[in-house]
Amino acid sequence: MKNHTIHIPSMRGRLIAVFVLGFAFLFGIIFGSRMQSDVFLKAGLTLLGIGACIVISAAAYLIVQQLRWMKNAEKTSDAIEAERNRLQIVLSCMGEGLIVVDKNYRITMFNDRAGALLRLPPSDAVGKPIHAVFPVFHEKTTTHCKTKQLLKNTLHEVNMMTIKLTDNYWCKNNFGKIFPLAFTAVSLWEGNDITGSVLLFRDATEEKEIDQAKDEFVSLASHQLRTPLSTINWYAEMLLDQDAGAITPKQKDFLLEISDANKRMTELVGALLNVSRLDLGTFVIDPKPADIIALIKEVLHDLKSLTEKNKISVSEQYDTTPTVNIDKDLMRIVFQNLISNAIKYSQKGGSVAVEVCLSRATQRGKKQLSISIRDNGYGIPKTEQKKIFTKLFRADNIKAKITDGNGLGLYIVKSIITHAGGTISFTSEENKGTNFFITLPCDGIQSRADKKNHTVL
Amino acid sequence: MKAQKKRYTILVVEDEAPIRKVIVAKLALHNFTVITETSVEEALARLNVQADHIDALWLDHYLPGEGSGITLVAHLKQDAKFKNLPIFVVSNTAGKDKIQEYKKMGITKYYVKAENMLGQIIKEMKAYLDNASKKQHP
Repeated sequence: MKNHTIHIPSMRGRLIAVFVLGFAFLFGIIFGSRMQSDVFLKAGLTLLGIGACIVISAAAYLIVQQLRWMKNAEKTSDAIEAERNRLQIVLSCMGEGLIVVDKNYRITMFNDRAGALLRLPPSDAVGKPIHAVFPVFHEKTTTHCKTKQLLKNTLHEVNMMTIKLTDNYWCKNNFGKIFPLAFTAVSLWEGNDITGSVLLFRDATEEKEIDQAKDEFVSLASHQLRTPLSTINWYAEMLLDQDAGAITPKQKDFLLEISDANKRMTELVGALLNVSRLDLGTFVIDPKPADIIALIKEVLHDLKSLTEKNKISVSEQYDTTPTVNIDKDLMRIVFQNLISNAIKYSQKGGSVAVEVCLSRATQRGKKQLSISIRDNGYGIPKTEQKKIFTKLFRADNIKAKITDGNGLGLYIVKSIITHAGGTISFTSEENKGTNFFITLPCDGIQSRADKKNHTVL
Repeated sequence: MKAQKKRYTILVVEDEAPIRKVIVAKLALHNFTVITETSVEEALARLNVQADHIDALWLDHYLPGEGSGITLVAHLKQDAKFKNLPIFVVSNTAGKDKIQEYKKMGITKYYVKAENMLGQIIKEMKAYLDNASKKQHP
């Protein structure tokens, strides 16, 4: 770019030289033609003078034009240069590491932050294959580098992908240190061709620490909440058992109220703890082959007193189903919630139907279990159906009728089913009833140890 | 019937005073002799002194000072003297990973305080001990 600036003064010199030479020539010709007595020679010289005038003017015009163009070019190139500098500054000031790769996974751009995070000077990184500089691993297992696999999606089609802290990816820097990774990759394209991928990443260590602190707080807080609840529970039990002497029927009645309220509170604390574990992704999922129908029967058995109290008739219909790889404790929470909801949110004398059938999933032809839990109870108002899986939501029509709900049940259910790779949906009409549908893949769910290796209650 | 009338001595390691009091009261009603301690260190000292007299251990998970219930179980399972001592962990720490860790170490049973009636825990404990002593002295 700079060579233009060297030319401009010389162009000016050329212009002056053309004018000086041109005028000297003109003077020569005019003076020469005056001195001639021959008419023809005089006329010829005059014509030559006029012709020379035109040529000089044209040359001068062209030079001026070129000068102007050069000045413009200089301006544009300055602007480009300034823009480029600005971009460089922006890129190096960025809090995130930026890497641009071409179609063959070779690095074409690498900002200062990327260099700092990966402990490698940017100049050393450019031109290298990305997985050599930016090795990404899943769950700290540093044997299988996943970098290319992750970027593939953005290089084969126009795509954007995001890896969050909770996805549990790690990166190893040039010094061998591993850090938790969060990144976004976007396809880079020109016209219809994908030319590469842009990758933005950061070290998520700090977030991870905050997350852990939050998690430990929840664990400890819930432990602290449970201790006094257990104390109340056990003392009430002793009094009710008449271990401290005989009690009157009225005292017994009051003590039962205390005991019941305390049990509800214990359940609430348990539900809150489950919610925080699900939100934080610290739930231990431990799938083992289990019989879903046996599990449902167990839950129905546990709910027997509630069913009898509300005079609900329960009908069951089951296909023969294979054992499914599930986490029994988590799935029990699901059925416990859905079936007890069906019972609680129905008028006395209502009916609840539980059905399990084996079906073929449409997408990949894999078998799946379809579970339906249907009641003919209060239903969910149309306007509120969108919100039923959100935390702490309770529908208006039942708030007054059943006061002890905590608005966490369906949120927990939805989280568990999603974690299990299943789906949950429902149909409902006010005062007609509600029908929940769950599908679960027969090949079950992936085991997942506690994502963050630290204390969980 | 004779075995059921045996009076067992149990060491209760629990730091919460009100909880400890109610456990002691209920255990006494079920004919147990109860010794109490509040930390891992104290419990270990007591066990070493009265090794022959203690029939079972009632253990909480979170304990003040160094170590938790897990530390104590680890110690005991390595010691030939206590390897077969029945250990009942009764805690509000309901995390699956914790429960699994305890079970792997070979404890007798894990109870979550909030989910169990005191009387039920003690009944089961007693049944276990009766059963074990029947096996030892048929």
